[in-house]
Amino acid sequence: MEKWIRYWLVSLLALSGIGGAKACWVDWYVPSGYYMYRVYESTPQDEERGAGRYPTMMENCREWQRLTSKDIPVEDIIEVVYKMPLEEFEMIYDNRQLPCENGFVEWITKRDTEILDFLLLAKTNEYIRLKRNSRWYYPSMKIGARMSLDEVADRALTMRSTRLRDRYLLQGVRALFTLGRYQECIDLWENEVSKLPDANLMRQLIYPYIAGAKCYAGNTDEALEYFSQIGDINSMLYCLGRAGESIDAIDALDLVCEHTPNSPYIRKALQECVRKLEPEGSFYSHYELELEENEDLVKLYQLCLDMASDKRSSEPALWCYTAAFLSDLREDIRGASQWLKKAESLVKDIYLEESIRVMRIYLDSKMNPYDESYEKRLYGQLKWLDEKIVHHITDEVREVTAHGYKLGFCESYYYWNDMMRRIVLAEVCPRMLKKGKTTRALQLANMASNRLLGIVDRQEMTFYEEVNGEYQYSSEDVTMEEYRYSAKDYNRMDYRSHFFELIDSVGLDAAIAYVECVEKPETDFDRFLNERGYINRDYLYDIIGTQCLRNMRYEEAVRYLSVVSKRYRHHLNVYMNYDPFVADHSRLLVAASYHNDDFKYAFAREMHSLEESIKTMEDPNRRAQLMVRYAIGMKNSFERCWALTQYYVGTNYYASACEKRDWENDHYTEAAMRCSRQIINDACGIVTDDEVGAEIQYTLCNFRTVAMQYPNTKMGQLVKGECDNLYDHHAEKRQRRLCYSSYSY
Amino acid sequence: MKKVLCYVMFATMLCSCGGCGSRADVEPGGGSIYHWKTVFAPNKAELDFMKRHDIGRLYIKMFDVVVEQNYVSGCTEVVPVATTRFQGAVPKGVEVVPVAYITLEALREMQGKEVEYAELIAERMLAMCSYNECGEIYEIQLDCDWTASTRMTYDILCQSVKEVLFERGIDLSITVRLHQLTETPPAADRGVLMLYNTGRLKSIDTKNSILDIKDAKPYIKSVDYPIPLDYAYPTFGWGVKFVDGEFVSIVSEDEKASEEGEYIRYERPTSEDILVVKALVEEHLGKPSIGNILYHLDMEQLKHYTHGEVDKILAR
Repeated sequence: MEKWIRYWLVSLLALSGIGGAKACWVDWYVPSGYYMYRVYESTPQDEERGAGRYPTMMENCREWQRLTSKDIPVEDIIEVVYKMPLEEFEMIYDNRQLPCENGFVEWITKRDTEILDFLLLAKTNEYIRLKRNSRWYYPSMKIGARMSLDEVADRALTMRSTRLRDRYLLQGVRALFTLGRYQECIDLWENEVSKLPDANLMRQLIYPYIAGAKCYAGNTDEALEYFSQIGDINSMLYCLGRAGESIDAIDALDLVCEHTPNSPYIRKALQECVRKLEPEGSFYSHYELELEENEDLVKLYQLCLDMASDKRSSEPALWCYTAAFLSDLREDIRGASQWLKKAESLVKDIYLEESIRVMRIYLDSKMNPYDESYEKRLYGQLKWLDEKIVHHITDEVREVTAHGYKLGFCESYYYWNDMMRRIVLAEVCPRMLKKGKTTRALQLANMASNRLLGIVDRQEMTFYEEVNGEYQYSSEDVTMEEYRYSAKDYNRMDYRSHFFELIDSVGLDAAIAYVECVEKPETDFDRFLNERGYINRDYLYDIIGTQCLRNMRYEEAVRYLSVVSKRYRHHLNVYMNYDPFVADHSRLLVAASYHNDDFKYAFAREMHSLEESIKTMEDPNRRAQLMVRYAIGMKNSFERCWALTQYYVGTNYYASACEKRDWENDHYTEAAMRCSRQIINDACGIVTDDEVGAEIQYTLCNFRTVAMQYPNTKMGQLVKGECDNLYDHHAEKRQRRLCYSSYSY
Repeated sequence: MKKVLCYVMFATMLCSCGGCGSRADVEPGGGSIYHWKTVFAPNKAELDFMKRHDIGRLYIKMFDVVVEQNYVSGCTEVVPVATTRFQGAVPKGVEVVPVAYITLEALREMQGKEVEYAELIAERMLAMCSYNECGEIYEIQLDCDWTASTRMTYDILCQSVKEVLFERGIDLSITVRLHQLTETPPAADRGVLMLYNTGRLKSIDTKNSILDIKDAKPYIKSVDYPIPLDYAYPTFGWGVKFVDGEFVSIVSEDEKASEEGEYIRYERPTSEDILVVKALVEEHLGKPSIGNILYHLDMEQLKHYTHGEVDKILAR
């Protein structure tokens, strides 16, 4: 019992390594590596606004709609303003009389040519700026536009159209900025742009250019203030770098807080800073960041303390939550809990409140004793998390889940499910196991592994198929049921999940106890977890049956494997090409009676039948023969025919938790080898007939013994007569060097 | 009469049209030299050197074309780097041949986009020449250690560059390494055979990787090379540092081995070495089509050769 707990714990601890190394094609993470800190999320609205910092496309197009006609679809405007290349626009400009399907083009060519002129200038401006920003650009290179950038700037700034003045100002500033005429940008801002209302979109778009112009003009302090207003930490760092000062992102965030403590961009910047401190959770790395002494962490923590008590800040809960998170990273769980309590009492917005609640669930899992009261609390918490998983799922999450890999590799991609998995797999399960609550741990691991798959109920199946006589690679999306029962593709999900890892390592009795609980749930929590896991009888009984074979409990194996449906036997991730009852591995190829899809059941039946026959057989020679067959089957089921007792072999296995056991030296294997040896010794000891004795030795490939001890038997004559074909009398010596080395007595 | 007037006007137009002049009209003086630094600021000694040896053509490396990671897009891209900054004027009467060095990695990356990059490379070189007042340009040069597997890409690139240059009356030349002599050259008007870096730099057994007649001789055979060739000879030296027999780096000739196991191989071809190779080359490949070229303009290197030696190397 203790051994498998130790295995699971050690495994999880090993999995909790921090740092970064690449798996064969993608990063491979552990549940403790899921990002938990969450105060900002890029929303579709943010996307509309560009990188979350500057207002852009949709707002601008809606303004164009206001300036033209509500009847023009925004898509038409986007097409012209954002997507159409200069060359195409110039053609429209030159052939304005031609009809066009695009409503915006129709409007500006026929009814409002002032906008047409403006857009030609704006597009020319962007075209030249793009060329100039190319690494290939060199001053004096021919750019191919109808105007030079100086002309664009001059024209933009001399246009007196009141209606489009702010738009021309933006074009003028962009052109001047690209030309390096920074002071003129600043003058324009001071004399004209800054007088526009704060809500003016063009004023907002010009603002970052002015911050940049101030930076280039050498007004670093002012530039910093401007950049801090828009939370542009990267530009702040660049600007300071230009001025010869070196600060890091946290110092820059500090500056933002100092200038604009309630900047709407603080959350994003803060999250970026914290993300850098969160454990990366890469599977292969064993590098541990010493967070307690990490300077960045200490600095950020101090900033949180300052801001949490700063009266100017309108979001103290944000800072308390961050302080709690950082305290936990420093392994100060009590401190984390206290800060979180403060955050809970101060929080106002739902988004942050939910992040705080997740962290409370996480801290509870680390701090509470695992008693009945905690289980009750955990049940409620998981119910809440589960509702969130169901409620917030998006098409993108469904798509990624159906693709399979991110879930399998513990890559952060769906906050709610990630958090459920992180808390359950990295915190709760190990502690449940330590407490001896194996069934509960299995129930939880099953939910963590399969809940999202169950909701999405779709999986991409990939396979080769024959089309017109040629094999080609295909894929199709199928339901989970179809996927799990299909014989076309290997099941990538169910034999690599954390649940599988656990049930495959907790020991047979614990696994059986779990399956019994699945069949007869006692509490609401049992039912809740069962409903959210994958408890298909075929799947579970195949696992238990296989473990019975591993434990040499063949009668039980028959009981469980007989229940596995024929349909499911087609699709297992293992298959059998060998006859497990043949000792000579040159003749191990599968016998006709062994059908690939029921090889485990067939083996279990025969082993059980042999057991029964051995018990009742009175003739010692016949009994000895049965015993030898039984011993060979037992031994082979851990060696050449390992698929009878395992789902994988070796230590490299592509699964979410790939730290696998060393099967050859595993205690099950050692026990089976010992047992097999003993039975053969016993069998040889009861033989009274030389012909039978010779046959047994022959079966075991002990040809020398046959020749030396039974020279006058049929087998003895055969071996002596055909010794060259029977790899001569030295076979036993050679055999010792091969895997079938221990058929001796 | 009107007809004659028309012809005269047409001829005048042709002559006044920039880039349409013939190189023969302005055939510069004897020798040529490469400038292979990132700052063009020839000092007095270098200017005097050029004057004294009647250097009429200056091959200036303008930039390298390499592959770099674009951290914004996450993709790799072919870009110019190490662009030469002009901090001094090109001496009057000296023709400039702009050169672009293309790494093999960049060439591979250009596959399928040769036309696009040909235009960028040519336009950028010409823009640099125009911006830095390098005078009339009659030839531009591409330098690339192309191999058999990249020959096709390089050929398309050269052909595309030639097309860009054709209407401006500018020739394209390429550098030719010794090992490339047996290959069909890519589309170009002329070539410069590089008679340096002939040996294996990183091998401890190499005697002189810059120029060793034993290394060069097997390649120099009588061949009828499809394009006219000029020859570039090395007038530089360096140290090659090894530790425990393993190559470490190229070092200055002034550096001395300081630790146990350290060994510095000092390499500098003598004028005799160069003249032997020169004789061999001219015997098998003929006289240079325009002239001989020195590599490269740096008095710290050139001071190791007497004026007489330099004259002999440059002499046609």
